[in-house]
Amino acid sequence: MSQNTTASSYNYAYLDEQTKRMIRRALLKAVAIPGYQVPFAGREMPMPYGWGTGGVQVTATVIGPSDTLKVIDQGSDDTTNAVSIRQFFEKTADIDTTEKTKEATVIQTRHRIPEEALTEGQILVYQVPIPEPLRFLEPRETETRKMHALEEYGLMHVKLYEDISRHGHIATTYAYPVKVNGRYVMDPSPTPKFDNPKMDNCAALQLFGAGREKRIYAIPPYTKVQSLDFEDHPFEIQSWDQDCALCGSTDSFLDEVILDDKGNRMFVCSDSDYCQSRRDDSISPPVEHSLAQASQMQSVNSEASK
Amino acid sequence: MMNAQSNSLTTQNIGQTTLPGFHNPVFDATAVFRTVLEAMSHPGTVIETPLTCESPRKLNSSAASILLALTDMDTTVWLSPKTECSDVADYLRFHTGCSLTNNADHCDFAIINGQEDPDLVTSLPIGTAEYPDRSATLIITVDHFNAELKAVLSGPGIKTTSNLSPAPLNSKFWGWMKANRNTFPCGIDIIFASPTHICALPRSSEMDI
Repeated sequence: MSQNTTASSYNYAYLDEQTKRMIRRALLKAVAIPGYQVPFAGREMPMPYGWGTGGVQVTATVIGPSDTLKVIDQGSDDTTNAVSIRQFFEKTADIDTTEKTKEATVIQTRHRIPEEALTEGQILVYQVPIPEPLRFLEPRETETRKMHALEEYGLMHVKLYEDISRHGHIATTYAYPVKVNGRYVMDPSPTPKFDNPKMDNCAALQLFGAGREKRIYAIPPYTKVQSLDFEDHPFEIQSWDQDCALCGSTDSFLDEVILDDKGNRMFVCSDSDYCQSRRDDSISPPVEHSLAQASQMQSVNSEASK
Repeated sequence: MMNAQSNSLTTQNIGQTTLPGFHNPVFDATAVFRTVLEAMSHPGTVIETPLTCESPRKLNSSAASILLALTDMDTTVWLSPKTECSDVADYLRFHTGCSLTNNADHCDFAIINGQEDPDLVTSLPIGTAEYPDRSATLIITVDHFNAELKAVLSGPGIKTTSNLSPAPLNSKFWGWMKANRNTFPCGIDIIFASPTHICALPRSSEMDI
C-alpha cells in the first residue's frame, strides 16, 4: 500500500468507500440518462460550498492511482481554486498532476472547457453551483421535477424570447441552456456559451457535480448537445475584435485584463495551457506584444463584456 | 464458534464464506468501477474486467467483481432462480453487507443468467417520470460476446454504431430489451458479464436487430 504513505490519515482520495460506492451508483445512472440530474448524498468536504465540493467529490470517486489529474479554474491552471484542488488530490490520492490538457486522464474544471479537443478516454469533471436550469424561473423543486418529467420546457424558451424582446438578441452569455440527446434541458454550469459547441459530440465523458445542491449529471461521449435557440435568432458564440495578446490565437476564449487605472487593458487566452503551448510551439511568436503595446489596444468594445 | 445467525447485526444472516473478496478493497473497487463506467459510456463496447475474483460457481468473476464494487448495506440485490443459492447469498452478504430480496420489484441490482426467461425481470423497478434513477441495474451473466445474432446499437456514447452480441442469451431477451428503450427516461440499465469481460446496454441506447 505504498500509495498511502503520504496520506496515511485519510482514506484514499479522502472519501470513505461507502460514500464512493453511493456516488459511483449515481454516476452510472447519470451516464445512462444523459442530462438528467441524479440526487446524491453529497458530503461535507474540507472546503466551503461554492469552491467545487461537487466536482471534488466526483473526481475523488473516479480517480485511481494510474490517473493523471489536471485542474482548471476559468481556464487557468494557476488560480487559487485550481492550485488548492490539485494539491488536495496530490496529498490525499498521491496522484500525478499535470497542466497539459492532452496528458490528463481526468480534468476537473470550473467554468471552462479546454480549447484543445478532448479525446476518448478522458473524463471532464465540472464544478456546478446551480444544477437546475429552470431554478430561476421556477423555485420549487417539485415543479421543476415535473417540468423535466413532462419535457415542459416552454418557460425556458419564453425566457430566451424575453431576452430578445428586451435586448434584441439572446443576452444569456454563460450557463446557456442546452438540450441533451433531444430530451433533458441541462445547465452546462457557468461556462461561457463559447464552450457550448465543444460539448456536442465530445469524445470525452463529461460529469457534473453540484455539492451544495447534491446533484450529479452527465453527458456520455458522442452525445448530441444542442444549445436552445430560435430559427430567426440562431445560437451564436462570443467573438472578439482582436487576437490573444500573448499567443496571437484568433479562435480561443479571451479574458480581459485591466492594466492600469487609465482604461488600458489587454485580451489574453483564458486557457493558460493552450496559450502557453502555442507560445512554446511557435518558432517565431506571431506578435510579441509587450504590455505597452497591448495597452494601445484600448478602443476595443468587445463582445466579452456583454 | 460464533453462530452468524445469533450474532446478526441486521435482520438478515450476515453470511459466511471461505471465498476471498477484493485483495485490495480500495483500488480494486476503483478499477472495477472505472471499467463499468467506461462500458456504460460506450454501450456495446466489450471491455476486459481488470481483475479476477474467486466467485461462487453460479456467479462469474466479472459479475462478482461488479457486485463487490457497487453494492453495500444501502442496496438490495435480487438473485434469479438460476443464480440464487446459499453460496452466492453468503458471499454477497459477507463481503458487501447488502440485503437480498425475493421481490424483483424492490431491488437496486438484479442478477440473472442469460439463458433464463426475461419474464422473471419484467417487474424490476424502472423508476418514475420524476425520478427515473430509482430503477434497477440488471447484470446478465453470459459466456462470451461472439454470438451470431448481433444487435446494432446507436445513441449516446456511440460514435456511429456498435454491436451487441452476448451469448448464450434467451432469444426472448431481445424483445424485452427493445421494449426497455421505449420507456425512456425510465428503464433498466443492463450490464452483460462474461467471466472475463463486460459490456453495457444503458436504457439510452437505440437497438436494431
